[in-house]
Amino acid sequence: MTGAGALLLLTLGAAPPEDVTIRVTASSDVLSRNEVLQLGFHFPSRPERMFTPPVLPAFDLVSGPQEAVSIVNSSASYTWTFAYRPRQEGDFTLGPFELRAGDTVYRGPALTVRVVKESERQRALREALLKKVFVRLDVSRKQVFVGEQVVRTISFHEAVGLRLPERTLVPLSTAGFLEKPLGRQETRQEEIDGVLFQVVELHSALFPLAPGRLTLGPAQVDVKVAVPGRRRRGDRGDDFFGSAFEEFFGRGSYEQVRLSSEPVELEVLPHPAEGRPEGFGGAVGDFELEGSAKPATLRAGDPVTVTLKIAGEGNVENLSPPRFTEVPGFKVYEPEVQVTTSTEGRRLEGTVTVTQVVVPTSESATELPALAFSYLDTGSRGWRTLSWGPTKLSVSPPADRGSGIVAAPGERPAAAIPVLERDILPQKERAGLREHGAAWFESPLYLGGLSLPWIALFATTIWARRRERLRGSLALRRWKGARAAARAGLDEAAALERAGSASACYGALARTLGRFLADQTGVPPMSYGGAGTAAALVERGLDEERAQRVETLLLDLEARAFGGMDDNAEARRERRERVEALVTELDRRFPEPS
Amino acid sequence: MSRAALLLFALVTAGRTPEPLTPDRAQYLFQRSTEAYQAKRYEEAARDLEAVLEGGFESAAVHYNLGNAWFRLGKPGRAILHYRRAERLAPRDEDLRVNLGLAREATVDRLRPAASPAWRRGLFWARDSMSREELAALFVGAMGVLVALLLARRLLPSRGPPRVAARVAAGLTLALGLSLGARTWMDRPGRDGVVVVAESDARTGPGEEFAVHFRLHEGAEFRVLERRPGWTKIEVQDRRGWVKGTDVEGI
Repeated sequence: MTGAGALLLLTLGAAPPEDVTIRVTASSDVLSRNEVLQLGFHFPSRPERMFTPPVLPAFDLVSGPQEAVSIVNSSASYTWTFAYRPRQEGDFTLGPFELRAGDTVYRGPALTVRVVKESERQRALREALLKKVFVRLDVSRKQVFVGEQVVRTISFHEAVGLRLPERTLVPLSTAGFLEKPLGRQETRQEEIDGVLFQVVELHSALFPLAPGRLTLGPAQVDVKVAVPGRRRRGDRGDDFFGSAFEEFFGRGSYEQVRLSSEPVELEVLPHPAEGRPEGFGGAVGDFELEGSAKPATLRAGDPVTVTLKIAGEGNVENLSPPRFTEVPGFKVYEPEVQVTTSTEGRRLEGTVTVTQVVVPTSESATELPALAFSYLDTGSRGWRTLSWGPTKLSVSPPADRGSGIVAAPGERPAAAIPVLERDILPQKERAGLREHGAAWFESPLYLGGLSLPWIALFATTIWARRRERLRGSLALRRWKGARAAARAGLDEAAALERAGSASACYGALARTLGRFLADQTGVPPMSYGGAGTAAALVERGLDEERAQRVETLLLDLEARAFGGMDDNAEARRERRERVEALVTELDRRFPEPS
Repeated sequence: MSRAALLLFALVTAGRTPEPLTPDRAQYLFQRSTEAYQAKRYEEAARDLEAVLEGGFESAAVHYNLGNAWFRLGKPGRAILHYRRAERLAPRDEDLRVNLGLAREATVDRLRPAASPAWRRGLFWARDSMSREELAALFVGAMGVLVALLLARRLLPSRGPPRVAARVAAGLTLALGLSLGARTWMDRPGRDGVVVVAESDARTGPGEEFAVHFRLHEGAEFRVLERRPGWTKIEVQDRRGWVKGTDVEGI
């Protein structure tokens, strides 16, 4: 087993060790003489035997131990707490602690505690707090050239556990610099003099604009702290779990405190005059240049795309990349410039891509001249020039000499046409005027009209669904068409009535009514007739009075139809009207079939 | 004071109560401006074209020609202003692109707008290469096709067009609708601006008492962040400052 493994085993208490390292905490860094200091010993496993409480210089043991168990991430830790009262004012180092419990020795680090007069307690608490929260300002380099990248880091340190309610970074003046933020803030932990700090860092790339001495900062952070209140009589601060911060913040009103870092002086040097390249465009940093010309084999009149990439560290957004302006034997087009940047690695980096099309006007144009890019190299602190080319091209005569810019039929190949001057293109002849104001597609009519197709689609959807439902359900079709079918039956009965056929008329009326009821209730067409009709209708939800009327009328009609009763026309008409009234009354009174 | 400056003063101070123009009169002024330009009477050409705009008419050609006139008068700021306005109406005009590039090269600061990444240019191809009017017409067309396809599928469930056609139309409609919305957002008046005086100091606050943070020259383009009486807050290349409202024009 390695030493580290053994130590880990001992510390975790997997096997009873001889020596165990423990954590020791004090309830406050600063206390007055009438307060009590709570000293907590944190064990990874419960001590099997009691140990003798440590004797502290200038402190009297008041009480203890109090035992507490806390469970974090399924792991328990045990805290034994002793209360001490100070006997005098002063700065005291308590420990290092060595507690013996049987065969086991528990060792804890030393703590520093200040005992002050009650009147000095507030100031001392504040001083103690501000040692636990501070801000720093750093730069990557203090002597730089104009335009050189300087990474500025503002780091805000806050002791772990402080939990300040508010922290606000005061905007830092960057007059004299061009500033580019480098990503989002970063958080890390750092231990300083035994205190663990949560550190929040903000990085920015700064590019000085002019030579001279420049001062950055100080960086400032506003934090909200509580102004400690005066203790009440009898309030002896016995709450062990109140840390110095909680004690400080918990008993008074809040106050905003501005934390400041030290300012940073920068010396910005001018660009060295010696050896300054002619084509220098202000680039400072560390760059690489690569280029390509494609295709390398082509006919005169065909385009060649030249791509030049400058990649590296520095202010790539303000670079002046090289480009072709006039090349004898070539027609040169305006380049397209694309800039991409990255802030990974806490530096501003990027790539400038220049894409330019050139066209050889004859097969004699076989070489693109070199392009050079000069910059002030921050690595060697001197000038550097990168170049690409010259580039050889294999240019063959154009496929059709009769067309294009190269030559007329039968003529010798045209010489290269140099670009003499560039100028704006001419006026437009067609006015294409329209009245200024809201465009047609912003008018309320248009915007309202946009909804019409959707309304039509919605209505069609509902209609189509209804149609599909009707198609798929015979019962529904019968239920919906019951009245129309009854109307046809009544017309037939009326015709028979006019023909003087009483029996047939009553038969038609009885069938019409019976079928209407069957259609409405979703049963086979001949289901209703005679006695039992009322009961069947009541079963399907019709009230008794109506059901009884229906049954009485049906029985009457059937009796007259099958009994061959030949009464007068008035009686036939009166019964036909009763059937008609019943059909109107009962139409859709029964539930719609699902 | 130069002739161009006098003309600029006259154009800026005049026309506060513009007379409404008839379409024929606007057309006549446009033709007259073309003739004046060809005769190298650039001031007259600019005046006629400004009158067309003041009279309530506009077109990409009017802004383009006006940009040319201002360019000839040695005012690259106003030239860029009108080229940019023309660009909104005719984003694929090659002549316009060339002239705008030349006008930018004629400025002191030679600021160029940051190029979008290739993926964004691919994704927003329609937004960047079409005017709002074109996008709106295509959007209506695509939506009409989509609704027709949906109606056909609804009315003829068995013989209707395939579902994939409706999905393609829906995707196209959505893309065009989003492009139209984005284009409308980008083209909102006053989103961008341009310096129209020889030199303009960008201060740290909206007043003469604030320090000069940086300095821009005629033709510098910027993003407008805020307007207050007499002052405009701008952003250019990650720098922010307040410039006098009279030094700049919203595009």
